[in-house]
Amino acid sequence: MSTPEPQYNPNVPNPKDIFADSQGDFLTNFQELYNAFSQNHVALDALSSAGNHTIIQLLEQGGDSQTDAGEISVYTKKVTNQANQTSDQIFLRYQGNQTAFQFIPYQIYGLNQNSTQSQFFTFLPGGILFYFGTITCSFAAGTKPVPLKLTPAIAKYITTMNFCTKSTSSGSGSSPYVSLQTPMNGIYDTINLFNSALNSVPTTQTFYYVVLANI
Amino acid sequence: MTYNPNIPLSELSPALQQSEIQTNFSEFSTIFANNHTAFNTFNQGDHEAIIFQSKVFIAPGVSGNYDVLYCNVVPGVASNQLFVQMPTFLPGITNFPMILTYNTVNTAGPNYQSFLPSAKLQSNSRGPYLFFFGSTSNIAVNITLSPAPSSLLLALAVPNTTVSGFPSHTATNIINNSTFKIISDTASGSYSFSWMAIGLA
Repeated sequence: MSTPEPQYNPNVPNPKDIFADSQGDFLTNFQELYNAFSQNHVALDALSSAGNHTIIQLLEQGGDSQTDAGEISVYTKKVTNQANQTSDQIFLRYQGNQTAFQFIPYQIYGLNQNSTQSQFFTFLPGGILFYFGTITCSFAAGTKPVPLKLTPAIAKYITTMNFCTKSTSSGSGSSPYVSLQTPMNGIYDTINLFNSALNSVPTTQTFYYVVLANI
Repeated sequence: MTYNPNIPLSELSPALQQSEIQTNFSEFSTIFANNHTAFNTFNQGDHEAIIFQSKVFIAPGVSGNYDVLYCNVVPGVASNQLFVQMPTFLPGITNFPMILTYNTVNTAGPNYQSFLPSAKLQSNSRGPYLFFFGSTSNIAVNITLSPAPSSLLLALAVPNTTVSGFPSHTATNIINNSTFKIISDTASGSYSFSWMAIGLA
């Protein structure tokens, strides 16, 4: 028969216990309090700052956290609607059970850079992805537009996009004309760039860009 | 007085350890009230503030269904910053820690500044992204960004105008890690230009 692991017992000592008989219960409870509190916190017997946090592990919750007046809740909940992937993401909910929103909506990772495009992405709270970088376009008369691929390809709606010519001299080019490519499976992953009518062709231009999208 | 998880001792009479037991109850209550709503008060156990005590040099990692928040150093940035790490969910993509914060913002202008999260891809990665924005009516003067990013990734400018077709050309030229120039085919001072720039802290 195995010896059960000691567990914190909030119901000891009992009123009729002889104090000496409860030594083990006290010891177990003090040790369990110590061990449990040491998770995410500076230990109870630390010389300074006991009770401060070391890290915070937010365990996945089954639903939105309840908030009373004056409270803000930070919690983790599973999200399953992003490119068919599932992850635990951080949500915020303000006082009085207001509408919860994603504070951390996606995993940022490094994107490949090449000679014609530098690309980065980040996010804004609420499920907004923020694409930015540079793209170099070689425009020629009668040719197809230059595609700007959005990576990661999870944009459900493009909310805004801005382009500006990179140049060291004036009069060297105007910002491109742009159009959204038809979404694939509900995902916008390409913006088509066309040469501005103000520019003569052939021309090669580099543009800085910022694109915001709902995901 | 210090909390002691190893009392009461079995060989001593409990009567002799009364003060140590009381110390443990007292210390736990006091320490718990650091960052948490204290015992015997409304909403006891809630968090009131979260003080991240020390930097965590190695990402804690995530091995289950949870996210982890912690603070750590960013090379070249004076203050520790707040990080988050999520479980892996993208096939073939490492769940790199993400740098969420920067220690300054500028909401007074004229060159406004905030920050955007970035991934810490390597131990020497900089971050987060610093986000600058504003407007100017004098493009003869270069835009100087503060705090200076370690590298300036982009700068955009658009004219604010009611005159159709003018200016027809607007461009930006990044001069160095903290300075860029707005270039236009119009005479300086003719229009104002809205701009934004993004760099790495």
